[in-house]
Amino acid sequence: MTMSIRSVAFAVLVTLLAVAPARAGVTSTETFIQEFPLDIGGSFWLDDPLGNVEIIGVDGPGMVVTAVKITNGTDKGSVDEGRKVTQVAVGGDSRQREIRTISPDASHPRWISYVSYSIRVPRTVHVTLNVGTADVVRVVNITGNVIVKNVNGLVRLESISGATTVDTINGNISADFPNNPGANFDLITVNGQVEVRVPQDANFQWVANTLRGEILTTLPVRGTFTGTVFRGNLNSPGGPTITTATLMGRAYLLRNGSRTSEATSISVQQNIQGGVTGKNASNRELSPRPPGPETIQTPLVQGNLRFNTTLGNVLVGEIRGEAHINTGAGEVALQTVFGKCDVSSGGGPLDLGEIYGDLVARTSAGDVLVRAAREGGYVYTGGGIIRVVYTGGPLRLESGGGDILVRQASAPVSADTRSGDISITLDPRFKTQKVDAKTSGGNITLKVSPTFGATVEANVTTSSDNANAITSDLPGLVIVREQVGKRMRIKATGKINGGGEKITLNSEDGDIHIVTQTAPPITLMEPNGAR
Amino acid sequence: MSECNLTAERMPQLLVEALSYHDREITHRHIESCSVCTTEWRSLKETWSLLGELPEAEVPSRVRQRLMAAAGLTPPSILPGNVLSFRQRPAFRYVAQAAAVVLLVGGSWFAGHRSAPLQIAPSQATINSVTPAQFAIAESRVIPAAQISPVIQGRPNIENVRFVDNNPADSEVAVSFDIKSHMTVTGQPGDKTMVRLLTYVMENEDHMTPSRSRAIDWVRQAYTDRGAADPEIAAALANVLRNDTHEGVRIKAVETLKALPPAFSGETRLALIQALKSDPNPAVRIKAVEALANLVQGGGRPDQVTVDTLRQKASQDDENLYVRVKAAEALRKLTQ
Repeated sequence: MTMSIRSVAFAVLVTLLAVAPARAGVTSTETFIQEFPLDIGGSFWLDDPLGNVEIIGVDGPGMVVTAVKITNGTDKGSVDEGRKVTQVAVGGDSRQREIRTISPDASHPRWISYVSYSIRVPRTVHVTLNVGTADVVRVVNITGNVIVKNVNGLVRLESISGATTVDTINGNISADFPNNPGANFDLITVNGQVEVRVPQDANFQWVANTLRGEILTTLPVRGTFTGTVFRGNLNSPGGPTITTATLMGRAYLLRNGSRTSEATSISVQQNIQGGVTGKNASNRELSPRPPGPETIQTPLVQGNLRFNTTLGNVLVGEIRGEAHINTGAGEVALQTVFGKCDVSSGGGPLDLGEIYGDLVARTSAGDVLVRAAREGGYVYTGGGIIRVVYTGGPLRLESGGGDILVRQASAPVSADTRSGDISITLDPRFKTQKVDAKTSGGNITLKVSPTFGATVEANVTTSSDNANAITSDLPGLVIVREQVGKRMRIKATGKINGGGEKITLNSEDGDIHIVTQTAPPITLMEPNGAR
Repeated sequence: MSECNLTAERMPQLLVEALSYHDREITHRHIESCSVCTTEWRSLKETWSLLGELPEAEVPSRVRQRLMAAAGLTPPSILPGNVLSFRQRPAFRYVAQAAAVVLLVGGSWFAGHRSAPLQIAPSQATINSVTPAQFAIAESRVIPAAQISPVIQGRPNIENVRFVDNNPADSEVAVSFDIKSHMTVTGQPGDKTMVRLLTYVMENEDHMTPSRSRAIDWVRQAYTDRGAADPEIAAALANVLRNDTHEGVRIKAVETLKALPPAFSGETRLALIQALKSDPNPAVRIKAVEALANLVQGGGRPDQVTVDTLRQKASQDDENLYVRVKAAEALRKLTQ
């Protein structure tokens, strides 16, 4: 096999492209063109951390490698250094050929060096490409198996008929099939989008999955959703499977010759309780996804806000009515809600400001901050820290693991965490208040005014014999220690300042402190808007 | 490395309780199931207990003087009149001590040497100044009576009192006891003593959660600034994140690690990766992925393990969606 004009043209093109964005400084370009033996049934492996890659399948044995090494640097010395430490290594034999770009792991402040390749291989070989960052990784006319892994850059497949896997982090994937696909394709990207173009009469199964993006097509696909995964068929059932998976991008299945702008969305029906449910995607039911952002960000909602999404954030300044928000995953931040506030997230932090109505806030995971729960309510996190600056009504707080902090409670508080500290400060204007706090691994601190009265029952279970686990600034408690199995239980009961509401505090492997403080109460501003 | 070799390497650490909870469990499990390691472990323990039976050895005054002289320091010139010189102990005790130390050190060296040669790059060491510590916080101390004020302040709790007369032939006696007293150590956050104290409190699993939890709160306030951050603190937080059984404590540890400058990511990155991979608490995983995202954003090319872990998390169907999205967002910041 001899070097073709196309190889030279490619080398020149790559050189020009590489030089164009170079910063002011010195640039060195070296081009290597060499032939190597490679059997038609062999395999080819390339490892290139930075640079474009083009693999073209041709008839007959042998391999022609055109490699262009480009080094940009601040001065000649830097370029020389970068050029020296960036090397192309070719190994293996005619059965298995390996090419590797050897370069330092860390980027250098004074130079950047990379190698772009255009390689002609027998079209029957198995191709494996491990590419870091590239503008384009292009594979053309290969009938063997193809594996491509990269971080950044478009992966473009043209006329590939062997079983193929593409796994990229930020790159888009494009696969063009002039003929009916003859093998399975797995096209997976985290942040990019996937485009597959096929003949209109092709037969295959299509599996598409996206979390944040959409699934779109210009073809008459039939199928169903299971969760976020769409499984369908084009034309007759059966045939190979093309999987297009992207977490954050869109997945397209396009008729050859059609454009992405012509594609319509295969809708995902949401069901808040049961998650995502399936919807028949027959021709009649294919419909564009309803317009609307997945993330709401607005300073003001005049009336009620009702919003459901599988994935998205909700950031609102002021809601004059009620808020009913459900997101499968995402952050929710509401500065002011005048009515009832019911917020639920499958995962993500909740940041809630002034809530004038009843509050119900739940997240499967993440911290919760409530600045003012005027009417109290219920706050839950599957794991995370709950912080409440003020509550004016009875408030129940639960965490699957994490601290619970209440800076001022003007109403009864119930706090329960599987592991974490609990700190509750009671409104100093109240002479008594009901509190129930429980942690299965952490400390409890209750801050009260010096005149606070209550009937206290506090328990600490600990493995430390001599722990001084319960202390109170206010007299009146009787502390008893007893051995329960291998653990010590310390119990404090009694009335402080003559008694009052019941205070129940339970801690395992922690300590309990009732401390007095004379800090002034938090002053709440009254709203300007209509309530 | 075979499991026996690994266990042999860990035995000295196991002996001094320097292993993490996880490694300790694995090592114990192997010892229980392997007769060779059981024998080796027993032998090591016997040696160790022999050491424990020997009395505390103070540094002889002439050795101390020579050391201080070599460091260019002047020992106190006026010694109290009632200080008596230490008696020479019988020679066999020194021999036994030395033999035990040689056995321990040799055993550790042999265990380590069997698996991989230790290579330490030579570096130039410079001692600028040496200041002898006035007081050391220790589990056990022997102090001559002359160095203790005869005034006992307050009413400290003195327990487990023993009277010792090692040699009836001389006039020296000893009173041995446990004392519980409250100590306040003052200093700058960057003082090594403060760093070591906090590190000890955070990592000391023998003590109850309260101390660790509060220590981490304090560390977050005092050590997350660029100027005050300390690699030992970062390493201690990483250990807490790896090993603490209390979720609340781990959440605090990962939150504090998240706030540390990226320069301290060497030790902490692996702990964050481990937490992201396997911590059962979703809040820990969320904070771990956010911390790793900060590291990725902090510049430089992230290591392959970090990228692979984020990649795996982004694609993991049974992971919390928010964690997946955060992992994907972190990966999006990869530029090279």
